[in-house]
Amino acid sequence: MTDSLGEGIDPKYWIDCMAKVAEGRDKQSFMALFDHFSPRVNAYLLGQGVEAGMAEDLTQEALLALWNKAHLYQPKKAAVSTWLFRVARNLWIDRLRKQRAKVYELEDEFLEAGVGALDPEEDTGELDSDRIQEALAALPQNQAQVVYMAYFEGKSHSEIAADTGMPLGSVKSGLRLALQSLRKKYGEET
Amino acid sequence: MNVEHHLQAETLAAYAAGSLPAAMALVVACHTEACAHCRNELRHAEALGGQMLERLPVKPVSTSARQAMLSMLDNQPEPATSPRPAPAAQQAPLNEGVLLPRALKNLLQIDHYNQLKWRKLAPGIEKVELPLTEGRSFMLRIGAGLAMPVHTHKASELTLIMQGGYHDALGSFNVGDIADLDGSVEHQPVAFDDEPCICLAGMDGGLKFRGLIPTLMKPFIGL
Repeated sequence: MTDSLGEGIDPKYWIDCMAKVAEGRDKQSFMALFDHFSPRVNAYLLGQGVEAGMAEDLTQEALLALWNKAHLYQPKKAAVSTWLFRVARNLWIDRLRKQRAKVYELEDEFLEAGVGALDPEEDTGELDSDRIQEALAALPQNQAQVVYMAYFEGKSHSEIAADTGMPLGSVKSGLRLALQSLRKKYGEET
Repeated sequence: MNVEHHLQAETLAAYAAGSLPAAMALVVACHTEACAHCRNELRHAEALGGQMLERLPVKPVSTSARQAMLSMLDNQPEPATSPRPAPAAQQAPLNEGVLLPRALKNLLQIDHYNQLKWRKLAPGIEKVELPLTEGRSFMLRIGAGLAMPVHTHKASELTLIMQGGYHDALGSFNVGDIADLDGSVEHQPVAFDDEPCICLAGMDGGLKFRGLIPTLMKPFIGL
């Protein structure tokens, strides 16, 4: 199942795959996850400036974590894509930004019960991805750019300001406004 | 803990994205450990990262990597049957002093406040410089009722109150509160009268910029 679109796949499908990996060590479900997520994790890592060979290694490492820790995955806590995002983020930070790695919560700590648990009223795993994507597409260009640079180039607010020539305050307010409209959009359903 | 001053959404987004300099990320980690509100906001910022991961233009790994992945699966240790136990209770015997937040413990490899090595900065003001060079981070202990020098911020600064508290033009800051300020703010914090104030500060600055060519034209459209 090598989908290049990735849209329209219900996040619940991946949760189901995770359950099969956790309970039955089901390779077919795992490879479905691999085929869908590895090109995205790889793209993410390349975007962070990870060199191609290392990006491929880290992608494998991220997906392998998913195989080995599937039994710790809690769908209520985060969508599969969110968990992988965290794993991939922690991996590139660990390789390219060692100092940051020291102060980030370790993946294992996140998975442990109680640490960073969501408000039981909240249910991040069920966030409607279509709605978020709609909201992302509707962002004004400059806000979209700031979100993109922060999330996918790993740039700090000052770096974004330096790169774009935008004042630091505008970078921050752009990011804040973008998050507000995204929150609003996916808050509507709850 | 009743936190009144929280992190700004954009600071949490930068932390979620992994793009916050280490010195500031440290302060965010210490605050979110104790602040349920910001922890929850952080989960949302991470969920946004997950959703955006779904939208990235794909870059497939090589077929040999796929093959290697498959064969690796057989060589993995069997996972433990139950989730690992929760970490040991966060309660230390009282005589060992108060525990530091987890991120500070990891960074300094010590457990308690009373193990910190304070250096005198001025009468009544002591400091611990923290070993991070990406940005700058330190802890301050300000004697009861004392004022810190007036200062402005060149870039961004996060200050977390860890003991006591202070007040300035922006209001009162108590234990757990965070001041998430940018360069435009000038202030003069004054510690409360009844006890010394310990705070943790982290600021941007001294960063090397990764790319000099403006990336304004990055193809976000169609992402």
